[in-house]
Amino acid sequence: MIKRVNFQRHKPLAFLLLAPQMLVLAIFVFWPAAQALYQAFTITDPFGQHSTFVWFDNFRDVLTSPEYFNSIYRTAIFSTGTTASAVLAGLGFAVLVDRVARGKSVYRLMIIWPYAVAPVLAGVLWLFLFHPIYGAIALMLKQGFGIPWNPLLDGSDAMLLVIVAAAWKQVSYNFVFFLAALQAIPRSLIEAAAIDGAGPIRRFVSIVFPLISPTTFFLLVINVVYAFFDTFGIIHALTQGGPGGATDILVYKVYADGFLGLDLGLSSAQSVILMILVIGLTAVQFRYLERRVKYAQ
Amino acid sequence: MRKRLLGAFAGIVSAFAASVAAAAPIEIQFWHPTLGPIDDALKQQIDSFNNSQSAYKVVASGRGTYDETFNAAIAGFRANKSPHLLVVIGQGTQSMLLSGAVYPVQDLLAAEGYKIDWDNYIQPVLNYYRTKDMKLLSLPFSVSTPILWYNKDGFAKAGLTRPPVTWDEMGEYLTKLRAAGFECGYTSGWQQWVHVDNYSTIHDLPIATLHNGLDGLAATFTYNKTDVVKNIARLQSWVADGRYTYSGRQGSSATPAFASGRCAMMTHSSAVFSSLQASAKFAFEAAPLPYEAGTTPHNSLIGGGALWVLKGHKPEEYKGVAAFLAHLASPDQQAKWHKDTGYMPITKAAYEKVKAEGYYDKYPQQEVAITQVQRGTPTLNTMTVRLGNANQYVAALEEEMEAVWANKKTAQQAMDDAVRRGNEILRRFERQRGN
Repeated sequence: MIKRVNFQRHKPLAFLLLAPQMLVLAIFVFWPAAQALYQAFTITDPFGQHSTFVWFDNFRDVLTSPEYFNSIYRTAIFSTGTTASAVLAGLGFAVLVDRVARGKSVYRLMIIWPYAVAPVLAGVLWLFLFHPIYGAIALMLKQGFGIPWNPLLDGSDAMLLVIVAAAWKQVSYNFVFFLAALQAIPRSLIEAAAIDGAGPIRRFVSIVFPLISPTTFFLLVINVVYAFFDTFGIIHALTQGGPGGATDILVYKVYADGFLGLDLGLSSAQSVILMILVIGLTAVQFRYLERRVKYAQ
Repeated sequence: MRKRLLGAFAGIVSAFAASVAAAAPIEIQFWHPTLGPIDDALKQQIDSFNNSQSAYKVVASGRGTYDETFNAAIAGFRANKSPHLLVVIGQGTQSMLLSGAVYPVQDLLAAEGYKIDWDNYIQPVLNYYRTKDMKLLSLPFSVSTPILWYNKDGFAKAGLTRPPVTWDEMGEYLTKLRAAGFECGYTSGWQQWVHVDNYSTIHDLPIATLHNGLDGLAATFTYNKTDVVKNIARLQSWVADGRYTYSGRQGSSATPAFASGRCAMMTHSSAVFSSLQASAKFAFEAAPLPYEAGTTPHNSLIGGGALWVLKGHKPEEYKGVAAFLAHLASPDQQAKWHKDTGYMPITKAAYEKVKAEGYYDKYPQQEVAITQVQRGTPTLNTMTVRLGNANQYVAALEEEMEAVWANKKTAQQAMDDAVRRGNEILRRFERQRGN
């Protein structure tokens, strides 16, 4: 039985005890968020000399630009691709490593490694391998397999490249969680199924996967958020949104207009829209997907 | 234990006392982007100033990329902690001019009693950073201009003995070079700088109204109505038949494409000289940018960082800032900087000095930029591009150029779209400044 404390008669004390936490939240979360919200309604120069309250002008400028709708479409492809490949690859590697008898720690280390690489550096690395003029892998694709690989001009090639690069970084993270979840499954359950004659695939579908569904759901949410918010470094290093806007995802536009372009109003308006989108998406995930998740009792 | 602590304390106190006793020189904060191999040359410049006198000490601090440095400076300005000196990329000139944070270099040097004959400077270099009444705002620092680089060994293989002079001649050269085995005939760094900005200035064409924005914030782009469209269309046909290979935005990807020997020709900043020298395993030469047959070429447009002096510091500190700037502009320092980094010298004296040393006989590539910016007489079309939000409109333009290379749009469609998007960005810049 968990001990509960009732503050009904000591409300001031309750608020006093909550205060430090609320203060931290207010300073580091609510205040910046409120600033962003306020800036979304202003047009201002970077040095803060002039600031005009313009109501919804920034939102109008964002939402009337054809490039922005292209960006939403690209973001949908990018985040679906990145999340799906990162989660599936993480799960695949975890299942394989879970079954390895010897040298488990070596595999584990090798797969966790990419997580330690900074996103911008990862981008540069990938660019160097896949640059159509001098990239080692690109030349191999072209000369060895006759594949006309050119992410600098072909939008699909570029999208594929940024998805793989973004997913590559996140696979390690997913791998760690999946491996931990797999190792928490009681061996007796799997052995019992094996005695009943269930093969490895049957055991995975009927026993293992339902048991790790809370982890899968958690990773799905985390990976979607990663794809939406955390990938501008890779895009900047690899394609800068190109060619012709093919990889110009929403968060990269926020970064490019805000940090590079110093148009804080336009960038804030976009981040407010992005925030609303991601909150909506996460709500949908919780509403429809979480129902299928079986949490342990 | 106690004794040791006491000893340490005494040590700190005496060290502190010693540093005070040496009448600490006045510190001058200097924020600059980290420029890789060039940082060493910068350090030598600063050391030579610090060692030449004891009243002032310049403290340099690398702040990452140009964009990161600019962001750091804005944060510093808003928190009242600006450096004295800041390096800003040329495209940020309009933002700086309107920031309210600037002490124009020409005013500072005049106020501190430096009698500088600005006629002794290479005019097209200064012009980029001048107001319309010819006042110099910032001191050109890491300045270059795009030129044509070519693989001399490759030229010999294709039976070519001199660089192409016109763009059409260049097209013929590329056909021969492709026949001689170069899969990539030509690539370009900074495609927008080369094929829109410099193409326009060399042919005395306006990029935007109001003398490319020099006369006011209401300027609008006009390059979709000039020969720029013809130039982009020609490049599109070169992409189609393999003569031009697109190597990516900005400058970093073109250099290895040329230095690895894969591309026979490249248009790129004159400042890539030092990195080509370090990495190219063949003989390479440089030539001025080609122009259209039947025209007389004007000066090309420069680009790169300039040193800005920021407001809000003490008078005695500004004395030191002026002394430092005068030191940097001296012929000795300019000549050394030019040779060490591949950036252009800003004074005629420095250029003459380097020439007299016979340096250009050995490295003729280094002289091309200087003669190219002095072709023809500067006009109001060729003086500068003074437009705001450059990072954004350049990104939009590069995006549209990619659509041309990928054959998704015609040159005219893409330039129209780039101009439409660019003008929206310029109008936002105006509103940001309270207009």
